[in-house]
Amino acid sequence: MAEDQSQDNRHSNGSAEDLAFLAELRVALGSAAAVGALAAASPADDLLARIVRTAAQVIPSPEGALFLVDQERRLLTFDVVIGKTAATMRGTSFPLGHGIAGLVAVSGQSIAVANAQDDPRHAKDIAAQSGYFPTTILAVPVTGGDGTVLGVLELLDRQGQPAYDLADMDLLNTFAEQVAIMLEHRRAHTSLAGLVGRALAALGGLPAPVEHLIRERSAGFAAAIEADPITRRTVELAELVATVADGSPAAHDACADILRAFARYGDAASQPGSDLERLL
Amino acid sequence: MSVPSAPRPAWSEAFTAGTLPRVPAIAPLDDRTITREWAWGGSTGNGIKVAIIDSGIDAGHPAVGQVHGYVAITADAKDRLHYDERPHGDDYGHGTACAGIIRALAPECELYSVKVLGADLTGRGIVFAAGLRWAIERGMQVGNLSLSTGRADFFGLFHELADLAYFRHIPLVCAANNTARPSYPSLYSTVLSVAAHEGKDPEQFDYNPNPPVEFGAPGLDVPVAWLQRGSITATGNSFATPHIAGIVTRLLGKHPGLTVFQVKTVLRALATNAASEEASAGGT
Repeated sequence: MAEDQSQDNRHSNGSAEDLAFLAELRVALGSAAAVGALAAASPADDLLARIVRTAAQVIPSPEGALFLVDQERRLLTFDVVIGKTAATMRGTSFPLGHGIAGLVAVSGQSIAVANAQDDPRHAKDIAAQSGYFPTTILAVPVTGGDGTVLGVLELLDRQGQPAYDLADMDLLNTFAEQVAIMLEHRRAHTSLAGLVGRALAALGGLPAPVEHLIRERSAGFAAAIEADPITRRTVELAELVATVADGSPAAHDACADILRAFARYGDAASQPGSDLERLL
Repeated sequence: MSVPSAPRPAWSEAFTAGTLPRVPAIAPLDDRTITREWAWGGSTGNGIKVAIIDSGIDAGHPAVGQVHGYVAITADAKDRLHYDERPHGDDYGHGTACAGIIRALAPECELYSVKVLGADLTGRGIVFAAGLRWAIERGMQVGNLSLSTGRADFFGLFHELADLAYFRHIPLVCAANNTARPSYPSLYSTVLSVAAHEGKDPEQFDYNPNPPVEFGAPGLDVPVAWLQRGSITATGNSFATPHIAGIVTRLLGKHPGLTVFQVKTVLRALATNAASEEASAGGT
């Protein structure tokens, strides 16, 4: 990563101004990452779960899940699960390559199955893991604004009619669009590379190969910032702050007092032989 | 993060009974002149090369029979494409389902499996495009594409490929995506875009006078070939698409060399909702 940074410096002709700008940009993006960690806290997760639960009420289904495509693009992870399987399945992953959810992710097509118990393969996959063997399945893709598949939204065991129909499929697609918006909102705050890429792309009017190059470079640059120890510590603290802020007002106030005290001692602590250093 | 502000296009909603308007039968381009008997009567799609661009085909499935040729396309970490022409199977069942539907409608067509859907999402767009290009360059005569990409940066590439197919008289039969997001190549005017309707007769289809999705075919609770020589009852535009592809294959089996616009003309003439009074009275 340090190598990439020095390469970037060389590419920018290494002028003093450019280096100063890069340093400032680095600090700014480091702060953005910390803010992102704060903003990425539970509210988005709660809303996602709420969307899935609402879908399962409107299209009456006792079980449902939102799968997310794993970063490496070879896994689907249960992000939201409702119903009996919730406790055991949340957070588990399974590989793409088979299954209805995987098929929907790779084909981009919505699919429903009326007699899943007849699918000889299904028993070996999620059903075997979860112990839940559905009869009817409805799965639709969750697609981001740029067309990438972010995940799959699935409902199981339609109540009130023998199987999911085309109207159900259309309706679940509407929910999937909401999920996509929420996921992108969440992703915008947690992905520094995405943030940098989008900021640069907002310059607009760039030919596709140039935009592709910028995204690639900004991903490398952002990765370097995220790997930086100071940034990592800041983000870690930010995440802890977010957890506390989510709790009671009393906990929040206590945490704020402690942090203020540390901040005041901050400068003093950096002096060798300070009182705080002796205390610690 | 932009959300399309236009009203959500109603793809398969357009084909809901009661919503789909009747379209005028325009003589002589209607079912009185272009009859089903003329179009594909007696045709088995003999010798017509059909490319199923999908997850593979299980040639051992009784509903599929022989597969004439294979290519499995993958992309590596550097976006380099690899082509493997050895026989392959189908881990999802999807391609096999499509093959079974087409085989049932055109028993003597030549099925080719272009496997572009695998265990990976990276490189998905370029692999899909490569599969389509392979089909065009290898002289396929019909393409079944029960898949799509929403990536705007692929708009140009797929548009170019769709034009290439169109000018070489290769009908590309593509599943619409059913969301408000773009889906390529299903939205181009040069392809035959298909959504599901609730009808059960595999030889009955509708024409939508309000495109971009032009044709509706059975896609609700369709019995389809599936994994491990089994079958399943499935719903989706994916399964409506091969119904149109199968009918087009029969049409070309009897009238090889029709252009794509001629194929569309025949389908419009013979759509259930475009039936002339005579045909309706006669009970097609």
